[in-house]
Amino acid sequence: MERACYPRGVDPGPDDERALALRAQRGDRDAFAALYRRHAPRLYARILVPRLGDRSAAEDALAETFRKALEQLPGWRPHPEGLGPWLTRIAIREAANVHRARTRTGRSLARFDALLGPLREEGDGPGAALDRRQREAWLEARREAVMAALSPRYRRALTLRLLEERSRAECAELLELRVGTFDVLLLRAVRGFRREWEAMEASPLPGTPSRTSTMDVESTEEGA
Amino acid sequence: MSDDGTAGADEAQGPAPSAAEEAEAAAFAAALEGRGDAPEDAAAAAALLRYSRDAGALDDASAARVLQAVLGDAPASDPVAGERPWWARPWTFLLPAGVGLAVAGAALVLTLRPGVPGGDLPLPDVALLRAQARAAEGAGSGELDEALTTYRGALHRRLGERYAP
Repeated sequence: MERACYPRGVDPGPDDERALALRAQRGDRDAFAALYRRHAPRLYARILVPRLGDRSAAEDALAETFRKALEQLPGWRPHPEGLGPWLTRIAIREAANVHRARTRTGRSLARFDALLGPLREEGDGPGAALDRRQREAWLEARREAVMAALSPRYRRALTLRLLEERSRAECAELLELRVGTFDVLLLRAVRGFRREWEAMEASPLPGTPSRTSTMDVESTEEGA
Repeated sequence: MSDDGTAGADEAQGPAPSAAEEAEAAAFAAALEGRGDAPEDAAAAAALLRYSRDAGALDDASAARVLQAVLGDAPASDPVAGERPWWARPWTFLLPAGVGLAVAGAALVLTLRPGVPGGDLPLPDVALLRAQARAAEGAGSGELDEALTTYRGALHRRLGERYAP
């Protein structure tokens, strides 16, 4: 039997995925690893991190997702859409399990998937078709638009602490504040960021025309 | 400025913080460093801001670590028996080797086990059997007695050899 090995980053087509899944069902670990490399980045970035708000927790949930997939794979039946929807359901359940467990231990996690707007992973919504670079581009554009609406001091606090990951002490020193004052400034800045993010009309997704674009106006005028 | 190092309206931008806001800010700062819970609205916004840097990309090292954890936890009994060439499958050699060992063990047992009790004792010879036949036909018991005496003598000698101290 031919044994295909897919190096990291090489995406097998749907037929290959079916073959990989069948091999993995028979216990072929190379095939399972290839399926993992194909689906893990998407599940992590689009399902687990937004639902858990914490990368470490998302990694644990990703591991648990694939453990369950490995256990349940013998019962999987080939599907035209491949393994994606099945793995997505497992990941969503796992994220809910993590939330329940964290709530019981008093260490809750802050999900932000509701803030992702068109990037929310809701089946075949418009954001689902975007690849990673398109999503990054959309997020960066939206973030910069929101940051531009904030005061320079808020913007600097957010940039130093959350984008550059500098320590509190360093941030406070750079802003010439005491650490406690910087904490208050950062909390206000984060809440301001959230308000602006939620208030801002959803930016158009890459490749889709804006409702207020010049082209749309011209088309409307022509139609009239 | 308060005693714990916070400041008033101008420095933190906006009105002077209340004690509750200062406590929230301290909790938020601690949560960002992995200690305790943060106010949920702020924690979610901070997570979103961090997420916006790379859209939640899974780096290679983390991906490899997770895969290792998944496959490392899997039972060792399920790997790939159907995918290995015949000469690499464990049962290809284990099964014949097991059968061979069983046959060898059985042969050893049969070879070394004690003989059937009495198997080496002398059997009645033809003369004794003929004397028995003739006695049964009414030819008298003299010949039979003589043959029996001879046979008993041989039997007792053999028994004496086996059980002699």
